[in-house]
Amino acid sequence: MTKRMKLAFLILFMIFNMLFNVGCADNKNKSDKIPAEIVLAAGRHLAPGEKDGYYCSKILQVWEPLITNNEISGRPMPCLANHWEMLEGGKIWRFNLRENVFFHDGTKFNADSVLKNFERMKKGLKKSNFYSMDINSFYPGLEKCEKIDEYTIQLTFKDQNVDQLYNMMNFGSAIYSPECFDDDGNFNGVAIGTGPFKIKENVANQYVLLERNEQYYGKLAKAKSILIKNIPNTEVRYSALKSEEVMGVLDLNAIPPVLAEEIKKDDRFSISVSKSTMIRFLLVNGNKFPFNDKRMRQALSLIIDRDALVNSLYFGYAEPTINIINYTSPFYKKIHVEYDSEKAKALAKEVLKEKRYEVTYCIDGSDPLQKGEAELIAYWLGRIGLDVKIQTLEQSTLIAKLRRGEYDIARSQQGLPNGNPYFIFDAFMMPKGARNVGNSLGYQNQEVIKLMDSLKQCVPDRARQKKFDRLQEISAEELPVVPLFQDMTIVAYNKHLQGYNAQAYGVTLSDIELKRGE
Amino acid sequence: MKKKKFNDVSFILAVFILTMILVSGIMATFITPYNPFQPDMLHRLQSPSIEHWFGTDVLGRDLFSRILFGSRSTIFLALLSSFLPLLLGTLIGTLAGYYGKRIDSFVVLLSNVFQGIPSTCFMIAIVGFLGPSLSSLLLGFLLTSWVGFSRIIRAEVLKMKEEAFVEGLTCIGCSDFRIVFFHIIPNIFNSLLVLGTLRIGRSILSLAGLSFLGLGVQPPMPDWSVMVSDAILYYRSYPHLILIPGCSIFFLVYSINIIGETLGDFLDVRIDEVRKCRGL
Amino acid sequence: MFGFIVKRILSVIPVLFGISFIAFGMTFLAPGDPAELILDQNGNYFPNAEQVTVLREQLGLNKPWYKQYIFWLGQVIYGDLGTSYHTGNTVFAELQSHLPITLVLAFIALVLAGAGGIGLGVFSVMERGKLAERIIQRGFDFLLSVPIFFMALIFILCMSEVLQILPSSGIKEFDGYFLPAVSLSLPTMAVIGRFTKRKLLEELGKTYCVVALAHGIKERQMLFLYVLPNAIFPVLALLGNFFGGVLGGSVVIENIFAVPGIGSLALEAVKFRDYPLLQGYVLVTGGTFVFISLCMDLLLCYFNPKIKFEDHIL
Repeated sequence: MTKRMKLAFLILFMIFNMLFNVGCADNKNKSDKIPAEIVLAAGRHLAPGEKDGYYCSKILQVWEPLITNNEISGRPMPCLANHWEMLEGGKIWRFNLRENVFFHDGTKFNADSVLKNFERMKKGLKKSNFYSMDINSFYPGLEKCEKIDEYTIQLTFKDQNVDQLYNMMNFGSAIYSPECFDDDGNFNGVAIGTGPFKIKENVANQYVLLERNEQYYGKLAKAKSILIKNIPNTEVRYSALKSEEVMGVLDLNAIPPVLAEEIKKDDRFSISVSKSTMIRFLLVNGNKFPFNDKRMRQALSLIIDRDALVNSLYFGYAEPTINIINYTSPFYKKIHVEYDSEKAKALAKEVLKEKRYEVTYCIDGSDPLQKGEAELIAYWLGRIGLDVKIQTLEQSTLIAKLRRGEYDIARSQQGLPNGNPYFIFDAFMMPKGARNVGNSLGYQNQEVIKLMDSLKQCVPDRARQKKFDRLQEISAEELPVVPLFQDMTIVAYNKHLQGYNAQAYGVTLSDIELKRGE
Repeated sequence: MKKKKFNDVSFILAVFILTMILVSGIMATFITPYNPFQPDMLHRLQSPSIEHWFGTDVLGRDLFSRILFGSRSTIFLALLSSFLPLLLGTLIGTLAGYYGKRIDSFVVLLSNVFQGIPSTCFMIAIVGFLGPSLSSLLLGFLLTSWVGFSRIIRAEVLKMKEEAFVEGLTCIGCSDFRIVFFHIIPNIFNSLLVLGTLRIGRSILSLAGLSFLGLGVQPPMPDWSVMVSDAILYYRSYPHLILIPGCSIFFLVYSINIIGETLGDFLDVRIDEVRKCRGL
Repeated sequence: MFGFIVKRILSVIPVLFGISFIAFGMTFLAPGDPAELILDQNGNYFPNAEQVTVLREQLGLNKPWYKQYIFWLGQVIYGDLGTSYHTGNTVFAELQSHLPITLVLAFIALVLAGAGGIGLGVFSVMERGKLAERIIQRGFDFLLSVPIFFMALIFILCMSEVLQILPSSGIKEFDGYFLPAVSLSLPTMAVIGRFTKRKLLEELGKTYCVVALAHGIKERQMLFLYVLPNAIFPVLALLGNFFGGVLGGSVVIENIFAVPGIGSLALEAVKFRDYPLLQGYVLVTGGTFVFISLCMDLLLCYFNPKIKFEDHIL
């Protein structure tokens, strides 16, 4: 036994040494190993793959939609469809398709390919990490989808559908080559689109390698190849950026405000900021006392010093708002945000009548910024007679509680999938709206119902704008939810890159290139 | 019993530190200079200074006051979250080791089952049931960590059972209960102490990871490990936010470990002989 | 003895049954609907009631809980672990892609913790009373007082950002395994070191050591040949615990170092209330625990023949 033991120890020692040496192998030639010109990092894997309804995010610019958004105005802009016509008050939509466009596999893009994509969507709901691909929400009441000629298609709807362009923006009309679908409408391999980049390699949860599409019909991408790594931990992503392992970070929460401030101090790096489509707000349970009373909700909104909140926790990288519609929407109306603690106390006294009341405030425990917000808001609410019990919950438990209405206040967010406010008003303020029901908001207003009804038939732009304005005003006064602030997309990059600009959704990927002389 | 010279400086220091922390925790309400819950927008993220000994946090709250308040929950949770599983684990481990046969197999089975359940899953279910609170946390800790103790204790007891003196005691008619409680446990008390004190440190540190599931101290109550995990993003620009609670945890755990170690040395019935043969 | 081994291996079945049932029960009792969670992955899309109902039917979630469990059991007996709800891949494929990574990491961490811990423990006993021992002792105490994630981040800061000799995350190259394994192993290395030292000292106090010394056997020889095997008992139990724990995947380490191991797989499964995936995970880790605990008991026997395990019927 003794000799055996000595042997055992010796072997262990050798293994230990071996591992140590391997581990410390000098990584000097790591630049030779990187197969791409530019390496970036994101907080999630941007190409979830075949099981995802879209295969990859629009940020990668691998697939293109028929209609996209104008970055500045937020209005629909042509992409693969270069011209459209609305007929019969919105019951019929006709689209002219761009000519001389080819998919990455060389097949031609024409009406047939679009029809095959519609057929695929009809096969059923496809879940996704980004937005669920649901033909009923993107094309409500679609009856027919037919080819008029090689480059024209026509959609026929059951009812008037004035907003169809907005529904189709970006994720609503993603077009892929029919060759990459199998019989069930799922991807049978890498997604093949028409965009300036194609996917060369995709390793689940690790990285995706993009290559320039040399046959692109528009301006070619400036970089020959881009590798996007998946680094879920914020701190580690920052380290990777600083150690120049990656040249830039992108996507949601690419770099938190405090680290953006920190990296600005380093001359090697720069940041880019743009408006984001995300709004953060407080859900209130309108089915229970005290928030079933409009005055209490108003008191809640008035006692929150949004400027202080935004400056302390978000370092100014957010804009206070009381409007449920995001500022990237073309129909956005700026509404003055009020902060008045005296008025808040008075309103609260009317409802609570000199008594103190305990309320539960639920947040997602994994976000420390939400915690800071909750502590701040709880302190302020203490001044108007509410004793706040904060509950940090796991995300799925939170969702379940919201549905069951087991809360008084909760923190949530909403991204605007397209520039059309109709979707938001419907979800939050209509009695059967997805969020009204799903989050137990308990909101109902007859004027809103009438306005939304009339919007279905209303065609002229100015009239629509007036109705949307009115709806926004109602939302700011009645407060079915209490909006806090609008987000900003922050990205950071190494100054060796140029053309790196943040957009409402993603970055200008095709403009990125290494500076000359590098 | 033994004459150990108390010239061990680190032991005295450790006791001193621990007492200080305990006292400050108890006296927190009387000695905090500022209200630990009150935000102060004008004085955010300040480094330590005369007005704020430990600086202020992201909402302008005085860090010194928060640390004082936080010591209560940290110590309370730390002690309970290692003491309770230790108790349960020792009980079960001793029974398994001593009685053997069916009880042992059953306990091994139970240990395998409990150890096989992912603790996160367990914790979430408990929160779902009982709601987020301190008791859910303690229950969760109890159910997920008793196995670790029980396995080691079982190994020790198995070994101890075969010692000659146990056989001797049985011969003279000593009841099982007496043997276990008055003879076996004091002999493994040493290991218990080491395991227990080591465990305290680990529990404090893992508390932060659990708070995001809704377990443990709920905001705005300060808690050292939560303060550490919240401050991670800020450590490059405002290192005091993480260093101060981090050091507090460090000193607390360090002193507990040293005390545990020294007491272990002191109370160990065997080690005395070694000290006599110095130079080994 | 052989009968004992066989009985232990057979005990896998009730263990797995127990674990999978409890795991199933846990996720069932925890609030949250998998269908809803799949459709609303980022809080951006709020499915309406019909969509949720359709998906629930597709996944078989509308059946009562016992029927679902029995159905799953039936599948497993034929070797079909089912399909993960939220990714759509088979559970087997998911496990296959994540498990080997965790295995490698766990093994490296085990070797580091075991060899390092026992080695340092022995060393500090040999150098008892000298400066080296005190340094090691303080080192242990230090390691035990620092949170793992903090240590990991400091490593990344030093090794990747400042010195640039190791990758900060990902496992594309083999050296990506090193930092996470070290971070995982260090605290346990300290625990094992301290525990080993204590056990060794305990053994050294026994009569047979004094007698051996009196007989003229050299201290070092005695330490390695006689004391260590006696003392190593509970240390091995500790190591077994550690290996078992690490095999389940360390979520914190996997998150920080972007290692796609089964720890994050399990966390995701819990998050999405993905029962098939969770139960697949639990089967794998449960089976491994039984195996490890059996190995530990065998090692215990090997090192200390005084312990008897009886060939009893469970």
